[in-house]
Amino acid sequence: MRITEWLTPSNPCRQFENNEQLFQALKSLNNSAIRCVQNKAMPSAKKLVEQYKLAPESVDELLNQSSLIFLRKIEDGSYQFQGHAPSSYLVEIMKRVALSMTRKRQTNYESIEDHHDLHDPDIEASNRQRESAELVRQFLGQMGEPCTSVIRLHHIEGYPDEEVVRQGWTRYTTTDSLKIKRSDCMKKLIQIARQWRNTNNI
Amino acid sequence: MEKYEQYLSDNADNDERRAAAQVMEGLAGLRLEAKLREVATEQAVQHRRTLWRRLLFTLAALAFLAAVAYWFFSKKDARPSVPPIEKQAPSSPSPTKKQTPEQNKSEKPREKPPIAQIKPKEEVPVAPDPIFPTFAVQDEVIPVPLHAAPDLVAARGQGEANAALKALLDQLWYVTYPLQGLEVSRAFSSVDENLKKRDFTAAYLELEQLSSTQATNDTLHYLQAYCLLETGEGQEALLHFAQIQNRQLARDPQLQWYRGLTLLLADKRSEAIALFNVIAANSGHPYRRQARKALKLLQ
Repeated sequence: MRITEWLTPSNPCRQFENNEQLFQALKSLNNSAIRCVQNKAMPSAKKLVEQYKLAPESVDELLNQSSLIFLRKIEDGSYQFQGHAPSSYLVEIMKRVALSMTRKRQTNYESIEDHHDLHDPDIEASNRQRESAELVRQFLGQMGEPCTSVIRLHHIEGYPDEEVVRQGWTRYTTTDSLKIKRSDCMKKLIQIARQWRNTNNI
Repeated sequence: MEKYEQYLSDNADNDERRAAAQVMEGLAGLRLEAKLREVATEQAVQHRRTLWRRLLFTLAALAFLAAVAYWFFSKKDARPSVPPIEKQAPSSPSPTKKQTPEQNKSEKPREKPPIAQIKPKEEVPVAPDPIFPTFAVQDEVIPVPLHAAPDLVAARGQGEANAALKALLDQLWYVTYPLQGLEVSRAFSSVDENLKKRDFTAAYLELEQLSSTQATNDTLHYLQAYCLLETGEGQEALLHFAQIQNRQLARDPQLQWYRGLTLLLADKRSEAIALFNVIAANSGHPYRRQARKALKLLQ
């Protein structure tokens, strides 16, 4: 290893030969792929923060929120690979998020009228998802163990059932018993959510 | 990822379906948030690791520079203490360890004798330095003498030559008592005491008395020579040294050095230089560095 390589952070993009490979890795939420597109988009994020006169510390928030939208769009299939660099799509999302952040910061409604995109469907969907995530977090807290762990390990952290059983992270020693328990817990979670919706007239 | 439909009851109504859709949307959001947190942590760990590596590299580079600077300046400081006479002296043995590769290359390879003819080298015992034993490893660094030379101006009168000789001898007066290679018997115990107190006049008077009452021997001559040396009487001291010239004691390294100083005292400069050359050329001689210094000063 050369000394310059040893002294600089490793380049996460190195393992992807082309944009398609990178896109496929992003679909499976590969950590290096996410770091790769974030690193590529970081200079643009800094520029946008300056351009939209946002606080310098909001660079991370901008990148994080944009990455959430970007990954959600890859997951639900609304963003398909068309040969372009995925990072350029992330930069496009960042521009809209930066604009939205500027709107939020402004208190003068007249100046908001100057902006064309008052309602960005992607940002609204992202906000909705964030609200749902917060609710589910609350519901999981209400359920307690073992449902919290069983749901968290599969649906949030994405571990395969075989590994959960092998590592002994829950009391269930077979994948079948784990699946049965998870199904039972999910039904309870949905019922809690349904009750909450009824209570709040949603 | 499992589809939410499988969690719904058989007769699920729209409310239940919407609640399930919201749960799945929330779980997907939590999953993405967790993933981005994981990536951010990974990134932070890598940045921290890189930072430590850079810090480590900087420290190592600084340590290396400090070592180079230390080596450079210590070498520079040590250079003036090397007497030029050593470089010129053809007979002085050169330490092979200090030879550079270029020097080694320029030397012609010696013809190797047959293995059968090679005799094991005799180890030349290097006597410990009686004056500065701790300086044995430091080749050329020798401290100033412990005592000053005798006051020649008082003994011989005013004169530039005497002052210059006194100044020269002050730098070379590596003269101490007791004398090496000399076993002082009971008969000389009082003399020994006086010499330890550096009362050379009293010691010499006692030696004079002893010489009149008992047969003269090497010890008596050497002690007398020493007393005269310390009182600045070079010519007379030489007479006593001459008495033990061909004896075993004459080969004592300290005696050789003292005789060299006596020759200087007696204004026999060329003889002194010749003797100092012999001493300086002997790599095992404990006074070789003093002799080199003398030769350097006498140039």
